Amino acid sequence: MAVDTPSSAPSDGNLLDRFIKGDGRAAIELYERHGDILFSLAFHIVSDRSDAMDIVEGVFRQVRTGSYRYETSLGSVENWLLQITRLRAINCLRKRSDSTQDSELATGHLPQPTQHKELNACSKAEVSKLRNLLIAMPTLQRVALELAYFEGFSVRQISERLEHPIETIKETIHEALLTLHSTRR
Amino acid sequence: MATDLDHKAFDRLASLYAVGALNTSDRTRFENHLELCHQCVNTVLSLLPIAHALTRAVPYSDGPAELRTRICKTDTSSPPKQDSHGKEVPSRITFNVAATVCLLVAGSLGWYASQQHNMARLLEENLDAANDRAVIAEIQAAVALAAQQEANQHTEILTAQDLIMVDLSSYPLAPSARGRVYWSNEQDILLTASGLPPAPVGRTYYLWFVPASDPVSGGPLTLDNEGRITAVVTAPAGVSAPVPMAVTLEPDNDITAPSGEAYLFGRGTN
Repeated sequence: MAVDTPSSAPSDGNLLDRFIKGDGRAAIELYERHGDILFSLAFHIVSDRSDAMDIVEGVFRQVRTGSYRYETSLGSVENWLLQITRLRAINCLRKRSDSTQDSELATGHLPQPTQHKELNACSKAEVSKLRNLLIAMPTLQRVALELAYFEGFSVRQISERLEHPIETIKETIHEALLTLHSTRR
Repeated sequence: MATDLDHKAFDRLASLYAVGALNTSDRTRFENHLELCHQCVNTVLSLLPIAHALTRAVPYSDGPAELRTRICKTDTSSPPKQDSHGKEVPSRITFNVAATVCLLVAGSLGWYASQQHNMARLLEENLDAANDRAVIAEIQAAVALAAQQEANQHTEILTAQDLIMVDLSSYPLAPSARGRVYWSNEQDILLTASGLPPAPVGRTYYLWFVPASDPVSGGPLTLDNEGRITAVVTAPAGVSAPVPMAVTLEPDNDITAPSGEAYLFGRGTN
């Protein structure tokens, strides 16, 4: 979760620049602002604390070495870090199951925002509402959505795993997203 | 623009695309479709905030203290990890030369293997990152192309020879709301509106044409974060000149007749 920062505190963008240039204090501050939510996401996906730590450390290392470059069009720094963490965690799951070369794999990549302001404005209340809606969702909807989003399954793989027709899974995920979409109105 | 028949084949794929659940070939097919289908572009754009916000909806766990320490080391050019088991180096000085040489060789090989392992790991990570960047670039290009085509469509309407403008006036529920309809029979109809309040949960703005006594739905309208609407709609069958139009707030379900409060109204040219 992003920590509310006083107006005098450096922005995330500023911290990121300093971190890439080798400022250790910036690394710590970035971690203190976003480390918990990055770890929470990685742990939720891979269910292993050691792997989750490796993933978050890898995200910081890759950002530090310039393998991922932040652009403001990609939304907030936190959103960007979360998406990298999610992709790396899904890759970790695939490496565990030795399925990285399967052509049926979902790409896992989300379309990038063009209206990034919406992504920065995810309040605690909205997150809480989103979480409650996920919990209250019919089981099939929640499981299908989680397999797609957090485990990188394609619709065909979800259909096989849950033993439901592909069309049912498509409809189920669509309905799940529409339910969650109501939090944004 | 994609026809309804074209669109049907891609129905529901927008949701899967938004959460990254399409495989590479389906994704490519859908992105080609996106270049032609404004309806799917709008669906994807409306679902994106949710798709991105889901990363924050996971159960919360505090990051371990050890992770903080490891991150702190990241800024010092990431030296290879040290063995954390604290094995002691034998201190006896009575080893013979052969044993020393063996240790040195073994140590060198170990160091070399460790370097190779780190190098392989970094290469693998860089490959993953390069793949990610390539996909991100493709997606950005597809979304930019779709946005460009949407802008072109607006331009075609706004520069049409038969363009007629109709102002929409506000109602007391939103006195600062304003709207305008750009009507072209050769092209399509462009609706713009601003100053509308956010739609409450479970409700959506709708456009209505009133060619005669019974209103005809122009479809649901998506409001952006600034309370604005920009939508391209098609005139009802048989209607070739601006008729009275209204924007109302309705329940989310598919509805065939207006029942909610009106926010904007225009008289048309009838």
